[in-house]
Amino acid sequence: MQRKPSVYLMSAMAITIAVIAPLCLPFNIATEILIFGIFALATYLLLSVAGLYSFGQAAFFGIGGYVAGYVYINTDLPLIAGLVLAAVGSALIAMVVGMMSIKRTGIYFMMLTFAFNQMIYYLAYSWHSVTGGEDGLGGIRRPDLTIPGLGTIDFSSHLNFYILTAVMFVAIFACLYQLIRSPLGLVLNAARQNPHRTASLGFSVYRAQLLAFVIAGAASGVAGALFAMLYRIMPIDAISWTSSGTAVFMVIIGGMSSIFGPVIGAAIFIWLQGFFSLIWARWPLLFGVFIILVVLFLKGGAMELFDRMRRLVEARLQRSAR
Amino acid sequence: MISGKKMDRRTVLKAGVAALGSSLSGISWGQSANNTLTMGVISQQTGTFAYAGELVLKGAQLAIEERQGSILGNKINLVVRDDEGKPAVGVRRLTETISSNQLRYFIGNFSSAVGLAELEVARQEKVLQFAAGGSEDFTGSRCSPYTFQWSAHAYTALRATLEYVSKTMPEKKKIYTITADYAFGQSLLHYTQVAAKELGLELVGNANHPSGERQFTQYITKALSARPDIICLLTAGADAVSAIRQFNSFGVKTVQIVGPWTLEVEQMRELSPAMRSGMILGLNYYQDIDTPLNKSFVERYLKAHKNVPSYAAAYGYDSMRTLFLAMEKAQSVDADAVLKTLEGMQYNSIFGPTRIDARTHQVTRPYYVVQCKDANAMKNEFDLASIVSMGDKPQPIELNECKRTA
Amino acid sequence: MISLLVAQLLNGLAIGMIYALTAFGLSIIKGLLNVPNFAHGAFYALGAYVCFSALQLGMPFALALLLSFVVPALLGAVVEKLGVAQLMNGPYLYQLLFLFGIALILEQLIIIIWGTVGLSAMPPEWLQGAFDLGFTWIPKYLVFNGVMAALIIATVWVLIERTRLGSQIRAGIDKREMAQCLGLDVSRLITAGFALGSGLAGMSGGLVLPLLGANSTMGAEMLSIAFVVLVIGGLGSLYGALAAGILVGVIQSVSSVFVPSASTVLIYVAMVATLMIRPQGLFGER
Repeated sequence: MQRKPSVYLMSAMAITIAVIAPLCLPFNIATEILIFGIFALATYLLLSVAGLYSFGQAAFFGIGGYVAGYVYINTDLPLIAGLVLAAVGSALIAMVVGMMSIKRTGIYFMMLTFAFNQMIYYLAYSWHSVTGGEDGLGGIRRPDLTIPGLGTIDFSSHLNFYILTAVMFVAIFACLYQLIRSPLGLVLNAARQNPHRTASLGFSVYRAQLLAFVIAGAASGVAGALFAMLYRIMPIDAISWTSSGTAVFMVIIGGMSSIFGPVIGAAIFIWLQGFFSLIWARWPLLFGVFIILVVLFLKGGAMELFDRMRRLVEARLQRSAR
Repeated sequence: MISGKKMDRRTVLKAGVAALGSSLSGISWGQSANNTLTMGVISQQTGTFAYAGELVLKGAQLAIEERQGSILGNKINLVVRDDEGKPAVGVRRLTETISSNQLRYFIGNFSSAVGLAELEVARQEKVLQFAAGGSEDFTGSRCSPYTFQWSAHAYTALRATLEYVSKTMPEKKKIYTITADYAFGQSLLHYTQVAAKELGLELVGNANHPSGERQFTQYITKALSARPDIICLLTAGADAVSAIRQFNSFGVKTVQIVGPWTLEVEQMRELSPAMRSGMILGLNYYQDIDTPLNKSFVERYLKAHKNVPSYAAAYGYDSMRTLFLAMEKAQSVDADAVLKTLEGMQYNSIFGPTRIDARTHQVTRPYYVVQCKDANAMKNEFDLASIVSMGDKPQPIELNECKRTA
Repeated sequence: MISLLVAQLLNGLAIGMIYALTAFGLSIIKGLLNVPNFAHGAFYALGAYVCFSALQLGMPFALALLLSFVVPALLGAVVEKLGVAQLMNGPYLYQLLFLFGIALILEQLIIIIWGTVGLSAMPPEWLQGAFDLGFTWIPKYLVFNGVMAALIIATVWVLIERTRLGSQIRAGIDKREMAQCLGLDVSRLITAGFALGSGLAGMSGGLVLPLLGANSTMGAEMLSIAFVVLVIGGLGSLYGALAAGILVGVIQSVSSVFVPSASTVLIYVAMVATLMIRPQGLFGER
């Protein structure tokens, strides 16, 4: 039986990343990396752990963003209420979509998630009054947070908002890691490898997968809400199927074998987007090349790259030690 | 398999490399020196108005050249960013340049949605935005102390265009509108209704189309079944080009196409003369505008770029030029001082004598109506149309939703 | 009202034929690879741009259309050999992502070569103008599109059903291992099938050029619709896409009369309904 690192150790790693990031990056970029890190983590849960190739996660990201945005623009509800509503909203829709999609497998499941994503996209597109349609939902504010004993935190400061995002990131990271180590995670893993065997052992594969789908939806919703607050606008393309594809890439590019994979994948993608788009308007071409290289030569993504490098270094050290 | 200790090192290595890798790019986000004024052109280089970004930049550069690259002793640092026509991207780029480059002034949005999203950032960060784009919200419900609107108000545009039509074609009274389904299009539709009512024209129907629509045949079929005299295209960019191209394939000669804010010169050229001949267009700018400032601008632009300037370039030039005039007048490059000066400022622009409304921040200037020429009437490749009318009636105050006090 | 409905019906039929043609190509590829081809839209766009350039160079329309088949077909063969073939034996997720990457690259290359501004082309003289049906006009070129698409589909049908190569391709689709046992070079068949499918996509792009023009987002838009058509027609059926394409075209056009903003949502509702109620589609077999 493998001894996997404890939740506390992994959380400490996550905190380290969260602390280092703003020291080498502008706050906005670091915040965006963590937000997409959360989104990619949720996708990782479905893709790598549960083996559910969902091409529609952007729908839940978008729902979270629109719900939070709508709440912050039209009501006086506090920050936490908005985040909770975003998570609940996405979770509910994820439950409905999941109930219908998980009944099918493989390509049918993928096509179903794609179709639902499109449906939700076009619904958001035409429901002007609530979502702003094509122009997006603009004018989203960042409510202050009052913590008894600590006072009121104003989130219009980049640093404060980053800290909020970092806290959410570490919390979700720890929860997801714990989930993966828990019996639910083991069932999902087993079901991914052999669904019939797992079912015949008495585990409800359907229920486990549905639960994972709902949790991933909720996490995506929180990421969406944070995104909406970061840019003070919820754009329509965040809920489109190309955004879902991007989430899948982040997981693949980072590496499907470890929970750090999606985080690294998100960092790489945002970095590519932020850096390359400044120097070349055709940067998606590089992104496409990246994907192809990873898929052809480095299926394990960045994690595999680190592994190979580590083994190379170790081999060299061993040789020089002789 | 692997002991807990090795997992430590491995995960630390991974996390560390990840952070390091990102930090290398931190170098690319640079800072700017003192005594420089950073101004930005944040415009589209991809998407529906992809040609616009380049042109706005060219216009802005001409204005900066006039000042020999500096204003009031500050070297002008021009920063260029692509907003991809998407609000989130525009906001992202703007936020980046404000924090990394100390940007203080920016122009460039072609999409109203992008401009309106940037408006919020400008308001938060106290940087001055000189916007273009057709939505009335810039000077209406979303008006902000830090945003000024260079383009004409939708009301002025519609009124000028429809007035010309009703005067020269009094027998054509029925209008069918095909409208782009976002802020800009809906704004135009609203004022088509207002202006039509004022002029005694009848709106017989409307079809909304989503942005980026390729197939207009179903909307045209629907429009034609209502038997209008005029089809008013309340859409712009590539969408408008598609609509006109497809309308042309129907070969219906009895219906007049009117585009009150529809095509710019670049897009007119995407269509063959046969496709556009006879079309009545409303324009924010046309190279034949007869003022001394415009004539010299057109001459310089022609020399530098072997092409006549269009809306995008004129916007880039004139908005930058106006900002510099205001800075000179205020004897300061501080955004708050400049914006106070701009309010109510009267000056000479490429349109002639112009002023800026102190409360709504709308630039009050004329709107031009042109008619597209046949292939054999064109004197040269640039002579696509002739100015047949102009109008500058400002939006009626009772319709304005701006809540600012002067 | 009736006349408007009939007019939209005709419009939908013609557009539907284009959907059918594109989805037919996608269906062939799906049958061979068992993976939805995310690059299909990009090949469609490429065909339109190639057709444009051919017309710019003064070539006759027929030749330009032929080129809009040939160039994407050749490129498709190359893509298949270089990437898809390598990933055949792994999980299909990698093939999928490979094709997605190709789509990204192709679409950016198109912008690099032809620029970001949309392009127009006029149809040949004899196809300009419209038929005046009394209650509505229908552009001649639209009719030509529909007829031409039908002809091309018929030709490919003959190729697949009545020629030796076609029967081999069918064998490769239905029973790959058996076909290999019988000595057929399945990998070459797959390359041929992929080339054929991509060529068909390109050709529909070329056909559509004078009507819809060419622009950088046309690929992604068509891809979405092609997936819907594929699913409704039946993921396992080769010809289901044809009926489904027409159906989708008609649904889009007719619903724009009653509920214009919902006409696109309806298509995806139909897609979901198909996947839930009858996942093998209208014509597939389980």
